Amino acid sequence: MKRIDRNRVDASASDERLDHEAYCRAVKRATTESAFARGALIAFVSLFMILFLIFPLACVFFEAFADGARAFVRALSTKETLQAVKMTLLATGVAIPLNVVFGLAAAWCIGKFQFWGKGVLISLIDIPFAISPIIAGLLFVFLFGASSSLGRFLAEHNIRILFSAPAIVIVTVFVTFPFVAREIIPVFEAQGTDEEQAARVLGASGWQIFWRVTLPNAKWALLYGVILCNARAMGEFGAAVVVARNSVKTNTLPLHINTLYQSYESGAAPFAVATLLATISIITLVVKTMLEIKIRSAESTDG
Amino acid sequence: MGIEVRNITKTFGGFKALDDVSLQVKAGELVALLGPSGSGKTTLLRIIAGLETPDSESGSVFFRGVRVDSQKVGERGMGFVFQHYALFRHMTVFDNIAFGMTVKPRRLRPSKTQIREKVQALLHMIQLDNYADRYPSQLSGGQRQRVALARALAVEPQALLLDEPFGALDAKVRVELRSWLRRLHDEIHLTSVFVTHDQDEALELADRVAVMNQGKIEQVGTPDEVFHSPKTPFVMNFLGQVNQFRGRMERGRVWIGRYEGAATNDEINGDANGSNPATIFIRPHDFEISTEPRKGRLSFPATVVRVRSAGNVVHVEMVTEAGETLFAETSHQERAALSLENGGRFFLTPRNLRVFTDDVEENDEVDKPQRAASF
Repeated sequence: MKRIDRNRVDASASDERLDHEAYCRAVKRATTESAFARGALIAFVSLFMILFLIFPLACVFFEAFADGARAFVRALSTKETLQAVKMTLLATGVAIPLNVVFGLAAAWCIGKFQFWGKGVLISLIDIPFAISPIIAGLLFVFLFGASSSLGRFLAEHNIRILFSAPAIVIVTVFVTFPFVAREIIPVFEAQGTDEEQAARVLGASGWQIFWRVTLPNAKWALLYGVILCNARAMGEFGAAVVVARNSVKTNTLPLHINTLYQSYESGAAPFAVATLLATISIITLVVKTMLEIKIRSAESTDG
Repeated sequence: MGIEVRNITKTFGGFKALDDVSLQVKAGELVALLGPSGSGKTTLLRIIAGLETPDSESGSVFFRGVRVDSQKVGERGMGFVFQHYALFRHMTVFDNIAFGMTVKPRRLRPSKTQIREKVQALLHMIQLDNYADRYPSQLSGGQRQRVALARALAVEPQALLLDEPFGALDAKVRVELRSWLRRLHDEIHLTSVFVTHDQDEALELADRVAVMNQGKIEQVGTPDEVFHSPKTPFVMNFLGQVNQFRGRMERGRVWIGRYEGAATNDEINGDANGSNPATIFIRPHDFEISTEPRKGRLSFPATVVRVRSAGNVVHVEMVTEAGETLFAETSHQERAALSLENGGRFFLTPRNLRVFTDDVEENDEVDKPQRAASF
């Protein structure tokens, strides 16, 4: 008797739900520690954070002003520092838009289509995270260096990539390209294609669907990816140092800080410049936290 | 003619979701595609809409006499309401409803004031006048479903397709929305097709019901036709509660175990005069319960194992001599008159039954005229 069977199934499902709730409560009881253990754990983690994160960061700001405010301003306004800022802004300015375009395209095809080799593509996107930045730098040295045919071709046509601005830009793009894609893929996967289909039935073109439905739904995740990408692009050192070869012209902020620090005579100057990056990190952290709250509230009010 | 589907087949990988399906929907008609999950009903609806393409060598979809196979989804002039509403979550109710109008090419696009008026009218129609600035997440399920409907109607479609329109709603809202939708359909007479797995919904709402099973349409007919004259065992089984017995058909007489009786020709699907094993279906409310067997009719004994009397009818669970469980229904008065209690032995005489001889089930002959049947 069909209908009766269905009722039976429903009843057992609600039983299971009740059982599950009771189970969760039991697990919570069993995994909740005593007040002392909790306090000790919180104290330990807080102490660790203060010792290894907040204290060093405070030191940077403290050291930056060790030679006085005038020295601080002077360190920031040298030609080399300004050049490094420019270089960093260039690399970041190129990396972010490319990242956004690549991230959206990759997330679109991974999140909204089914195709053969999708798993492989997802793993490939993570390559820059998996390999050391130094290796990434060396990879491009090999690619554009005199030992490769591409390098020889470039040399013949007098195109200089290695040890100049284009190389910095290229490695920055390389080490940052997973950021936006990784943030948007889960959003697209979770949302599915229902809204796009609805838009299509209502007569929207592919372009209209993208701008009016898909992109607005992914905007917080996109911004989050951009923030992370920005932080990484500005702070990139390992790959850049390999392809830049320590010349003033190709120094980015991190490379410039390193140069200053290595030269011993500069006193507080490296710390002064470092405050720039540290400030950016703090801003990143704040924006990132705000975005996380936004994304979470957007998720919890999902249609 | 509204919508016509001709010989559509659709395979996903090796799975045949639709197998040579044909269906006609008259202009202004409300048709339900009813079937269990996996029966192909949603696939058929999506093919009509153009969201899915049928197998290349199979048939076509016609809409208002025009073959629409090569037309894109947005060009067919059909509205589609998705099962989970698929409202644009970042847009207000107003923007959701206006969307279809605002994406039109500039020369066809209504002016801002026209759009505003149209949306206001639709909001009034769905009884959500003051909800224009809300977001979908701030609405209840029933309200979302109405917004989805208004959004589909805003572009003035020539047909409306609804995929499990009430599937995600709780029982009470579902019933309310169902009668609201029926009233709406009676007002605007838009050719409509909706998919459901809920027989009550299909029988209450639709002008005609197409019962689907395993990629085929088993029967198309008015709710009365499919409920009272099911053409296949599946339809009998799927629509309403039913008791099923294995027995025989022997020269016009129905046999269940050692009991037998006459059956009318209407009740028999298949060879009435041969000698064949058969499946006999009897609905619980079609049993007459008595203390003595009825002479000259199919009347067999069974023992009461459980009586459930909370409700407007009394549900009785019984066991036959052969140990089969069956369900019967009777009135409260009848129950009192019979003093029907657990352990009592009674005779059951079907007022109506339905016989499908085994040659029917095996033979495809019966299926074919049904699928080709047109209305």
